Amino acid sequence: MEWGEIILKAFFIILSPKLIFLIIIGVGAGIVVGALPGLSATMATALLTSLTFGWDINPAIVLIISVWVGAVYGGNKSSILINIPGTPAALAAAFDGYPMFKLGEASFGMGVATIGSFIGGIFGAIVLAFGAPLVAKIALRFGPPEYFLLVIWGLTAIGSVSGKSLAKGFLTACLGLAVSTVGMDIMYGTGRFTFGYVQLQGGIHFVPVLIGAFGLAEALLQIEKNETIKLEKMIGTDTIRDYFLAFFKQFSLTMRCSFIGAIIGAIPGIGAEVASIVTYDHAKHTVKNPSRPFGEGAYEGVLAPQTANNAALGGALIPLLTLGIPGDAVTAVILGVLYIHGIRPGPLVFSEGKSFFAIIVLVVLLAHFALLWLGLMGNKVFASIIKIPISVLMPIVIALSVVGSFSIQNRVFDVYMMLLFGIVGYFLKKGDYPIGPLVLGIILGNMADGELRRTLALYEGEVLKAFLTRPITILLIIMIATTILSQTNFTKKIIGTISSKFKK
Amino acid sequence: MRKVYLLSIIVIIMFLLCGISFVSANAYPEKPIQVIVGWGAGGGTDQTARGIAPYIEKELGQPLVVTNIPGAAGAIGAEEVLSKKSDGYTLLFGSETIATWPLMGTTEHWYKDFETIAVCSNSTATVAVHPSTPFETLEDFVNYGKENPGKIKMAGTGPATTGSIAAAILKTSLGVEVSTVNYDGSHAAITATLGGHVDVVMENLFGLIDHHKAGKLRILGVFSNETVKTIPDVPAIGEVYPDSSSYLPYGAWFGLFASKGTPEEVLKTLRDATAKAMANVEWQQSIWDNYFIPIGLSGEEASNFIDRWTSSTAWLIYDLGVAQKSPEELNIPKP
Repeated sequence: MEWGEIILKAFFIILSPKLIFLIIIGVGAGIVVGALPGLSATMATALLTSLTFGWDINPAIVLIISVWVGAVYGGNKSSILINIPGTPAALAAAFDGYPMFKLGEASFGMGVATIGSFIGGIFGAIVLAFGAPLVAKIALRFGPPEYFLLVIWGLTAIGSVSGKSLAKGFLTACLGLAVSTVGMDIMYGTGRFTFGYVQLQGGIHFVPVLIGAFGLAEALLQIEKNETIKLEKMIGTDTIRDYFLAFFKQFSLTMRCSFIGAIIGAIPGIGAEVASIVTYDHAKHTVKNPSRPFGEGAYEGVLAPQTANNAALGGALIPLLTLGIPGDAVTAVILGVLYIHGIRPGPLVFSEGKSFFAIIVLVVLLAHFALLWLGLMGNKVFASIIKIPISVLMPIVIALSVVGSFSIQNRVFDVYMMLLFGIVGYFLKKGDYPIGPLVLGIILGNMADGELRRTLALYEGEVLKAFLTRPITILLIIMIATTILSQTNFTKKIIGTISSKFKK
Repeated sequence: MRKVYLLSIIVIIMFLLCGISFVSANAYPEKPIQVIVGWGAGGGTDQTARGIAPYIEKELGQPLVVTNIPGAAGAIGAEEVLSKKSDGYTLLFGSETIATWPLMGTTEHWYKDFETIAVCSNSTATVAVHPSTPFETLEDFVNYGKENPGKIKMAGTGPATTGSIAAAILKTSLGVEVSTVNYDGSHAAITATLGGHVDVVMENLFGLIDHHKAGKLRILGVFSNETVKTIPDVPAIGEVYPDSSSYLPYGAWFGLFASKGTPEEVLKTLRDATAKAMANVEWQQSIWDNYFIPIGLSGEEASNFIDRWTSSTAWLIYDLGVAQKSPEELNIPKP
């Protein structure tokens, strides 16, 4: 079949009232799930697996992808409004989003986030539609040395998410790295730091840690302070026009973040969480004159990660659909749903079942239009959540944290971990230790460890050659070097003198 | 204030979803049965569990609710089942790793702490290489591996998993030695082979077949004594090399378990229902379609199947030097 015919056919399938309705409902429900701290996209899609078990494949996959789109986007609401990321991928949106809220610009922040998510998501869908085979090829080029360097590049973002004290940032990052070593070691199959306890063999999942350290800890702090911020400050006079203007002003940043997001999403094993942190870091380094200093309410700091995490979604579908390989937790669930319905995505479906591929691309596209509409409409409604007194809102957050951390793997153990890291996070926050590096350490530590050891095993005796003779590793080394060097006072001084000389 | 009520209603619903249990004493089963899968959604175990559940439901008249509790090679889900009452309302859908946990030091418990209801299906381990490697046939691979020990690099998924045991069979019976680099799960191992970062992967057939058909990987042979009917053109290792036939067939298998102490009449109901479900031609065809093999053993026969599998596999693992315990300590007879 010709592509035009395939797309037309897919359009006719999607444009049934039932599926359009499911897209809108799905995105709406996804936004709510995403906005509720503790409840994540992974959990929502996992619950839908059982719900849609008896459905046909088209409505099932339409609903699940729509909810995923909504949930990835919705997370920024609670990041901005109560300083608790609604989903792991919205982690970075809190760094500048919450300061914006304190300055009375919550609706502006959420508006900019909506535009960013929309642009990023559409970009991701376009990459999925036109670049899937090429991107899949690039993703396959990522061997252990490439992964290791990518993870190291991700870890350089510790500097950006550390807040005032870099030393404190490093300390919490080290705590995160240490926690990530717990569990069964994949190389030798032995338990590390498990103390003979079976539950620890499975390792400490980063989502419960994140829910605890951000959600529970912040809830405890806010309950302690117990001050409800007055509503007059919450809803600005900003309009949709302002959001678009903000986007056009940072057009190139948005495009760069979309690109980084889509690529990171496409690399199996690394997902939207890392994409959002890395692009926050990228924005901090590349935006010359932010509207405010980063960390004090720069809208660029909300725009960048929100763009990237929705772009990562289209990217994550690439290895799933072209290779049958899930890159993260949500695509693993989607893979399960497809299997249950008798579809085995992979090279064969991609070459033979193009209409199915076209349907998924269209769903991602349409879901982002639904997101734009619902997001802009619901902005000010969401802002009024703050009307709820802290003494009511925060206990709800805590209850949701328990439910959310349980539902990731259906393990009570995860709830204990959430509580533990909630208390740890509370004291860290009291001591002004940043939480971002902790989570970064937990997400990336395990990968850094595994990939380095795989590199050592694969390129025995030629490890340096492995790092220095591959095109992608060289590119990554240059990226790491420039990231680090450009931030040292020494190089800043040199660049300063050179540029001032040129001006003369 | 309306928001608050809405939110609290959502919270309550969420709690309800997490499961409520009613207790009474009528004939089994009189409420939904929870089936715990120790692996994530979409894996081989999960696919098999969700695939057979509707057929067993039809026999029992109660829904089977499949829940994934992944981690520690399926052991965390199994511990969850053991922590529940032995009333037949919480079952385990497990895979072959259940027979090697104590050997590997994963957990003290294993299949002997469960009552075997059925072994439903299995999959054949398969050798697949990247198309750019010079290995066109099984013989090419075996000859090269014999002459150049450790030169061939294999993507594995950890000690005592499919890949490492398959490699051990080749080493013990044919003297083929590959060096293993372990990845996080079979998807990652297959990805590494697709990218050409390693030469070979030995995983279950269902994960490799599509890549073979698309020309991205080349399947050289299956770990069994006769060719698999869904891919008749691929040679069986046991046929080409009779020396290896005593270790074959090798591959993952999937079965249903109840914890020890479950009442005998409950076990009988479950075994009868599962046996009927497995006799269904429609179910068998769906298993073939996904490149698994329906075995359909229940009760005693299923236990014997696992005993045999365990005795050959456990000693292989022990000889590899990765076992934490000797099979002797666990009273596993030599094959």
